[in-house]
Amino acid sequence: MKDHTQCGETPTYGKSLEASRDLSADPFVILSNQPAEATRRDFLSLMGFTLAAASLTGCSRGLAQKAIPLAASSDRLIPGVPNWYATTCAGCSAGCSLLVKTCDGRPVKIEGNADSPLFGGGTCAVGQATVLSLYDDERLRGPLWQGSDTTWEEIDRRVMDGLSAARAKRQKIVLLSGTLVSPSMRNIVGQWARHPDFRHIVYDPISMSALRNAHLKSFGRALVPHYRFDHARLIIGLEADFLGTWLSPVDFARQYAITRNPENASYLSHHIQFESGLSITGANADLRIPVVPSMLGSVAVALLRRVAARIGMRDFPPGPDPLPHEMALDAVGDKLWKHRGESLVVSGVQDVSVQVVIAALNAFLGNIGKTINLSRPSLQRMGDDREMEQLVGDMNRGEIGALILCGVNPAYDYAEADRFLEGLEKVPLSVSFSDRRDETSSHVHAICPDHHFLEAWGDAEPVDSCFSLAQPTISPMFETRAAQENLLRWLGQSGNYYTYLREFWRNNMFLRQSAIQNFDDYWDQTLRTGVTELPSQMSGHSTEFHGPWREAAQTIIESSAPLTPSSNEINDRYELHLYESVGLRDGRHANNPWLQELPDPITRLTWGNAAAISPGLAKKLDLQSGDIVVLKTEHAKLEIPVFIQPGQEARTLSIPLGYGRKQVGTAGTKVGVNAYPLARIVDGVRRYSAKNVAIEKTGKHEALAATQSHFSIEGRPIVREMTVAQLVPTAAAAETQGEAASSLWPARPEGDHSWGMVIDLNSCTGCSACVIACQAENNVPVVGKREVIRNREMHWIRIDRYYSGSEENLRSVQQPMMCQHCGRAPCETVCPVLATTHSSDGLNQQVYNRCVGTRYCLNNCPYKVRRFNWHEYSQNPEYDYTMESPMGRMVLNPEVTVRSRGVMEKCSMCVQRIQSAKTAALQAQRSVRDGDIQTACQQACPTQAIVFGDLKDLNSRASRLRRNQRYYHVLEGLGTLPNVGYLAKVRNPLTT
Amino acid sequence: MTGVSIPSKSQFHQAPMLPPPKWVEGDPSLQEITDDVLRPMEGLPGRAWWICFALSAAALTMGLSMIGYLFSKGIGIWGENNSVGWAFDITNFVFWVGIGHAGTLISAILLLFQQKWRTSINRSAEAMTIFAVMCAGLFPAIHVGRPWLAFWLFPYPNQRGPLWVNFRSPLVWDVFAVSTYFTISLVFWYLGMIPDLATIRDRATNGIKKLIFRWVSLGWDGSHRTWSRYEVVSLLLAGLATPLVVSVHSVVSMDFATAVLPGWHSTIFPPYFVAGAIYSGFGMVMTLLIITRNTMNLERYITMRHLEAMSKVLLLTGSIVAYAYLTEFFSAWYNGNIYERYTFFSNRLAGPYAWCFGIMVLCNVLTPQMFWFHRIRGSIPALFVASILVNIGMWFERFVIIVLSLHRTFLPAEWGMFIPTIYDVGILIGSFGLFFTCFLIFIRVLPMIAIWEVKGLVGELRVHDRLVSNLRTLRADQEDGTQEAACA
Repeated sequence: MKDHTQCGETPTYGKSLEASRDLSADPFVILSNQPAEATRRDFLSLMGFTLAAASLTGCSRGLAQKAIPLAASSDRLIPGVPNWYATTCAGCSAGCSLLVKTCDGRPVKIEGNADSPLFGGGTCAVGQATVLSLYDDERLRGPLWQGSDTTWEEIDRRVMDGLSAARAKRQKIVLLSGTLVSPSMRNIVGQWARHPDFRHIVYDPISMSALRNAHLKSFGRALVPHYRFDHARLIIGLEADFLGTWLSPVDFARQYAITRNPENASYLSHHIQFESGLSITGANADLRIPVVPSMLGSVAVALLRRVAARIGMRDFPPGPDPLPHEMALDAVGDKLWKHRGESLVVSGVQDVSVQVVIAALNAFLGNIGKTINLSRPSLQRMGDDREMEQLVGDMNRGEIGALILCGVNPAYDYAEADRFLEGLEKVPLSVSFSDRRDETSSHVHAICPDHHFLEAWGDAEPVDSCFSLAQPTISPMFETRAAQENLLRWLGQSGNYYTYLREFWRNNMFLRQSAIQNFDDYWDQTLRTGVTELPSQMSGHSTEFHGPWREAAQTIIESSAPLTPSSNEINDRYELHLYESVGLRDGRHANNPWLQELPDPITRLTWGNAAAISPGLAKKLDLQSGDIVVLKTEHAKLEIPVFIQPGQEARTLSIPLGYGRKQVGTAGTKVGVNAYPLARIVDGVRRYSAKNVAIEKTGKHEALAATQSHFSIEGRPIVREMTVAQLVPTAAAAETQGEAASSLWPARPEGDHSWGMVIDLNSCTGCSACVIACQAENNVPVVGKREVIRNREMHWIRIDRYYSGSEENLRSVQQPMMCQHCGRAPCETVCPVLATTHSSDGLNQQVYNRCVGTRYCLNNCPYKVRRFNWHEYSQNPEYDYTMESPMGRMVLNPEVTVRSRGVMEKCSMCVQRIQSAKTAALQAQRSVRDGDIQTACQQACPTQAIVFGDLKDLNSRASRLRRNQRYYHVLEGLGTLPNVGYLAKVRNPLTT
Repeated sequence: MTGVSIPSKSQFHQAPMLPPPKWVEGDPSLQEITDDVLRPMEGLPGRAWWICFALSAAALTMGLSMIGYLFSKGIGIWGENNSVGWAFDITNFVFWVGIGHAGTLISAILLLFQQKWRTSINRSAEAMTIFAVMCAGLFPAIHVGRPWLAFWLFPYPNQRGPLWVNFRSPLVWDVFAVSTYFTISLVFWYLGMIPDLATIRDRATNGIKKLIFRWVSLGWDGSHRTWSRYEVVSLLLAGLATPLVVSVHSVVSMDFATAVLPGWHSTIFPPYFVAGAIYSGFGMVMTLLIITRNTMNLERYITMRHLEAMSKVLLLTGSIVAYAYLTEFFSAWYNGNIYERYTFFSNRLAGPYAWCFGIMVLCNVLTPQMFWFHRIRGSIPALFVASILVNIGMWFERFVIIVLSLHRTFLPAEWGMFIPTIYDVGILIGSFGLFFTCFLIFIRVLPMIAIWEVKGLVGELRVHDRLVSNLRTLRADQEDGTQEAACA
């Protein structure tokens, strides 16, 4: 376990803010290079920095009693030695447990908490990037009333006046929030709810209310179950990108990798994906069948029919099979039956009938309690779409007296955003906890900016009774205030949220465990580990399925029956499929340049979205990638460029959500197109698909910023793929390397280690967490759309994607590609100034100071992993992304040089981590052990697809994997002898 | 020296003696030669010169200002990217180095092979070499990411260890090859000019001009001893310069040949590059000479025979180049390497830059084959167009080798395109500006034809004429004698 410090609340609480602000006058406070003509913003950002730098303990909040200048430092804070704090991610509602690395009081890197039973040390790209959002220049510096700066006292007075007025008029007071994964927050809301006029409405931009409603009908409780992919030997996904974005992707990816381990072939699962647009989940499937969104329900019905026939239910509603090749459905039905009790069918379709059929499938197959956990459900996506619809109606009727918006932005992500805004104007008091002026908060009366989660206390319960704590890793940089504290204050309660949280835990979680008797010890212990799992309190609920599956199936059959108009009409009517993108998810992180520049794992587009269309459709409509079309649904229309995507269902357009923010900040505003207006409410649920879409060409064209333009592997042995049958069962695989080829060069001096890496293509899902982790760890610059179009993105690790399989069953293989650290590196011989050399530990090193930038190494690198600084990307106003402002630069890792213009850079295998592990080992007078060093990409990987280690240690994990029969080197024939190798992807086709 | 041997009596009847080729027309006197060659230096330039100079200087100024912008912003202003690390910069470098080769070939190798026709063109060809190598040297210096540190490419004593350059890197070999080449060419050119500089000194009326030329002609006195030493030094330098003709472009080709990329990694590159260099160099010499002979009234000295001889060289080297292209394709097919096959057959022939390949084939393979026809070799407009096509073709050849190989290498995921920016094009034009500005200044301030060598040639002709007339007399005498004998 990492030695992550617990953030003691120690005796440092309760003193006024002034005390800590005084510290900015402390001699320690660096960064005195205040610009001569400092604007207000500069002043504030510097102010933020000084405050941050001043709060050296890094975990004492702004209200510090005893802030310690570094001259008399605490033993916990040694300059240059990072501290680690366990906390909980608030990047989405999944609530992953994190460890946060702080250097000199600043959080600089986020890692997964390996102690978490749910997430196991993995993170996603968004989680990795949240640390940058902390230093977002667009965050508000303090509360605003009617758009102008004010004080918290003023805000408190006005809001409480407004609330009293609403109560006096017997008008409703509504808290509109996203799903609250925090149990203490739920408790605070519970206190508000004692008031009869109060209503709490949960609104999830990406809703799962169909799933919840289906469970209400089927099992009597509206919930989202906790899925256990690791217990499933047959996984069927219907438009559920559970490896990329669906519900809790880090958890699911970890589970999925367990069941996909070919070395454990008896346990190896089959995975079948029915989907309209190619997702990373579909890309990893054994069988992927493109299905138009409106027919997904029919697929579920067809499967249910086969299962029902097996268990002898004869009265199944008749109907046609949705797929032309019913063989596949029969085969899938057989497999399902064979694996009953160890299969799992999941669907992201927002349609209650479909979800009831899915629930019936799982119930009939006996999966409940095995692969589907209803007794410890997931506590995410608790929103009910009908409630939100009602609220908008109530607002427009003027029935709402006060509206408090917490972590939501409906003016952007609600389909009828205009109606919401109209209603908002009629609300006498509207308050938002947004950290910035966004589409919604710029229309409210009061903006009470919440802390960034890295500045805040908190807790989370993503899955029933799986708790985690959140602690601040830096004192609040601005005059922000925790949302919980606002809610407490406006209830008239004194004290702060921290005290509340502690008391809440003392009275709840502490009492539910018996291992530790003293609460202080328990608190410290939990803070240190970050997570705790307690026995569930939910019991006695029925897991008996009693859903109206026949009616649901009947509904689906009727609605998807061909309407039999003339075929021409069908031909120019298309369907729409809206999905969360891996980088931006629901769009709340749109101002994060790391995420904007993260290539989508499938389309590999950055800085914008496009409607994916199949090559056939593109040919039919004579469209090229980048051509702008107008899509018309019954309610809305959208102008968007298209992107030709093989594997896309022939009649469907897939559009990623999260783009097209109108007001979020310099990086994210007006990037891409907002597709939320197309997500209309149908049958009480917001539906992320639409039928009867018309396409009109506009003749306009837009350059799309893709980081990969060619996706065919051209028959080259770059990614290797095999089936289970091709694996040698004895696993007595020979060493693939063979004897070393002779060399003209004299032997190099060799050190004690040879650092290497093995990447399991079978485990890699393509989630791209490693890309952002690397970017954060190694200060990789963001270059912007124009430079990406010119093929100059700087990521040290990229996820190459190649198609695999036939047209009907098209999937892809994702290959993380970074410097291969070749034993005989082509780059090293050609550098005229010896700026890239080989270390005795097997690393290919880049010496920035020596590099003059001939780019010969880049040309001669067969893997094209070298990245050149074509311009000055740091402290250059033309590249105002992360390294320009003093705020943005606070995220820089002090252990890694920021490269200047004109030098080459590339993956260093996190040499700074190797170095510190070696130093630690030296101090402890031992040798470096396997596992001491984790590279940033390896640490972030939820599926542990990347293994780093010493190849000279024959027992290290990496060495052992190199003896695996699936092991190979990319471009082996060139004789570059890379220290990075790959394990072939294994598919498990249904026929085996 | 092709002296005229006096044939024996019996041979004399069967083999009438061929006159040596006439490389100077109109039989000018020695005074006339000096006057003709030095006329541009002693009068004011004409309108044509001014127009050419204004255009060149404008191009140069634009190029220089773009280089200034390049230094301030970084080489990102070019269109290169992380797939295509070199493009116009190294294309231009190889192109200009290649141009230079003709000068050295003409002045050194043809001297050793005693080719008389080189005399009236070698001076300007050598000047062209110098200016072309200057243009070439510009690009490696400005193409690096941190040009202010470009001097690190030279192995100089330093306090960093000392830290030397990487002697395994072909770029370092390039530095040596090109700087050696430039030095030798400069010395050779200068040395060849000394007798002419002395002529200018002797003719100069202006005091300053006389002073300068006195200084640069190093006290030349034209004595027999000086001439004899001078001839020896010229031969020695020619011997030194000769291997450079082969070595420089061989080394430049190793930038590519030693790399691992399909399309670069090839053993035929050195001879292929040398042939290409001579081909392009002669193309450029021909362009320049056609312009100068027509604008400077030097038709007497740069004759059609010269142009025809050069077009034959173009035909030969162009055919070698074409053969090299074929060989590349053959070996790509024959070795069965999928990467090479893709590079040549799928990408060069049918890829997005196939049009560049097409231009290259048109200019380098088809154009020189026109020179099989005497009528084309004798037509100034045809030769002029062809020589320009040769240069376009050779520029594209380097572009094809560099960009078409780089933009689609081993991993299809990193395939990209190179799209030039205005700065790529502007600096290329600027390099032409530099070249022509230098050349135009050269023809105004220095004798662009080697006066002393042409005089030697004319002198030789005179000797020949005298010999022939003597022989005729002899023969007439003999015939008279025979007749007399018969009568007797």
